[in-house]
Amino acid sequence: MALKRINKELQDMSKDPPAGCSAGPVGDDLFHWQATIMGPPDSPYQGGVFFLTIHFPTDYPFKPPKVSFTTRIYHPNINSNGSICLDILRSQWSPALTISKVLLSICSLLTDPNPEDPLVPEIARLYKTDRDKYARLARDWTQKYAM
Amino acid sequence: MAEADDANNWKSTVLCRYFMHGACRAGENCHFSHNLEDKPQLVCRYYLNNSCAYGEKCRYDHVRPSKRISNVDCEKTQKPNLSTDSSQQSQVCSKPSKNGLLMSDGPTKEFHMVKLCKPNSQQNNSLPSGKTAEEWVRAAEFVPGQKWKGAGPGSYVEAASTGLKREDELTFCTESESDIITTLTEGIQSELCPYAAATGLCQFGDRCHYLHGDICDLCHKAVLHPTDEKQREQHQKECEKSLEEDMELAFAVQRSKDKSCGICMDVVWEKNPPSERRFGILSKCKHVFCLSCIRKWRAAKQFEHKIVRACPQCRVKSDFITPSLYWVEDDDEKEKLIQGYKDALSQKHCKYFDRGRGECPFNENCFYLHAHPDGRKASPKPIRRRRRENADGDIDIIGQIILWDFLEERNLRHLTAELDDLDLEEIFQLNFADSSDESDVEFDLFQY
Repeated sequence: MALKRINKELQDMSKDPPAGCSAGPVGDDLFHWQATIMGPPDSPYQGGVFFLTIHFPTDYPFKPPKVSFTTRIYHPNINSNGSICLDILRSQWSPALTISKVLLSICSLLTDPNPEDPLVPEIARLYKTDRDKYARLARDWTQKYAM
Repeated sequence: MAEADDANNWKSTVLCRYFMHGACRAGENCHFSHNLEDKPQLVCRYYLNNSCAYGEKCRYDHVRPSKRISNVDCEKTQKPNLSTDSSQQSQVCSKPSKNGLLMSDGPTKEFHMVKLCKPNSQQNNSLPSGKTAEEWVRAAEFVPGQKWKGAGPGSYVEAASTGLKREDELTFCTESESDIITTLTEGIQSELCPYAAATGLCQFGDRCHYLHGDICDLCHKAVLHPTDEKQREQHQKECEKSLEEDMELAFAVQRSKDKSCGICMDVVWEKNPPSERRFGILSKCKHVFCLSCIRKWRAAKQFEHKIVRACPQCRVKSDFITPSLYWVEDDDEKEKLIQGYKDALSQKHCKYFDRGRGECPFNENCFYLHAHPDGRKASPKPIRRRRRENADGDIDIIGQIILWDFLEERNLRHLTAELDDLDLEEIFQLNFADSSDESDVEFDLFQY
């Protein structure tokens, strides 16, 4: 079941890739993928290429995939381990979601951080209080790690 | 005793006709041979009784086996290296049966092998008695194109003299015979010919003694009675109804065949095994899922109740799912389907209620039948009002406790960080403290 569905997603991904994202399996193991996200325009991450790893659970899609950044990024909802605080990857998961939709959600999270549910409180505070400084730091990190 | 043995042993070289077609229920205990090299018995038993009505046209053998002929036959079919020694001969005869499944070795067997080649009068003993055979012959015969006469005095001979002596496959009756038939079959003019009705083709054509009805516009069959208005009307009504049903089915098939499940993303009707090809219809939205996927998701334990009870696509909560072979989108049809499902379930005994022995957590909201063994339907349990102490120490009177209220309340408290020390179990204990005298647990907690 899981493998079949992952295969389907892979086909869809190659047929109709979402804007600014790509993903595919690492080696022969279809349960382990790598993905890239282009820093969305009109965000401080513009121009960066961010790598992510995706691990599918054996009972996918009834459990969410584990998605994390391997490229460092300055973002209130993404910590230094690359963990992402995104509700659809945890409690709000739905089996109708696909990797392509998840990647698009992460893209929109990059454009619109959610400081109300932060993973890195300092960045969230800075985002709320000094947006310019946050943007500058995010741009610096993007240049340093993602270009 | 010996007679009975004899009766059975002649069979052991006769091929079992069930085995011949691949399945004999008697297996190793079968009296007949399970060796495909043996021949089935094809001698006409009516011929042996001198009563075969088919004469030369009979498809069974009209040979009267005598002892001598049988022995020759036996030798002919077996090895050619014969000797005149009679014991040797009997061995030759028993050879095929040694290969057979049934045969047990031993001299007695060989003795009985010779008995196999007995004259026919002996063989007839093993057949049903002559009287019975005669009764079979008198069994009622259905002759196409004629009215069935039931268990009358007719015999095969009579039958053969009327309808069965045919010149070839298509011309059944000669002129003189049709006269006889006419006298036999008076008063059947009002019935419709089943051949013409079913296929539109009757071999007897204009000479058929049944009525060939008018052709119905809808089903294109000759089923309309030329004079009986009532029958015509009724048939047309039935035909319209079945046409409507066919059309509905065709639409349902068209609707369903390329729908794919939002979870496994397979086309539901192409899933394997075929038992998986069912839709799980959500009551509150129109998103497509196969039954097994949506059931699995709704049973998922690691997510909140309101997440798994919601549609995975639109997150609209549906209280239940209805299994269906066809995809249903139209509201009326869905209503009908759900009602049908509920009606079907309400015929089945609830396994929780267990005819009064158990308790069902869904109480009067349960779809299944809550009836006692005497057929009396159970009345819903009264809702007990109970006092509970809330978080602030006040006493509330509540009519219905729902588990999810607790959980929601608890989550809310966690978020607002006002009071998060209480474990769920403690909440339970706290709130059930004053109702501890009631032995039964309040199951409607788990109601959705």
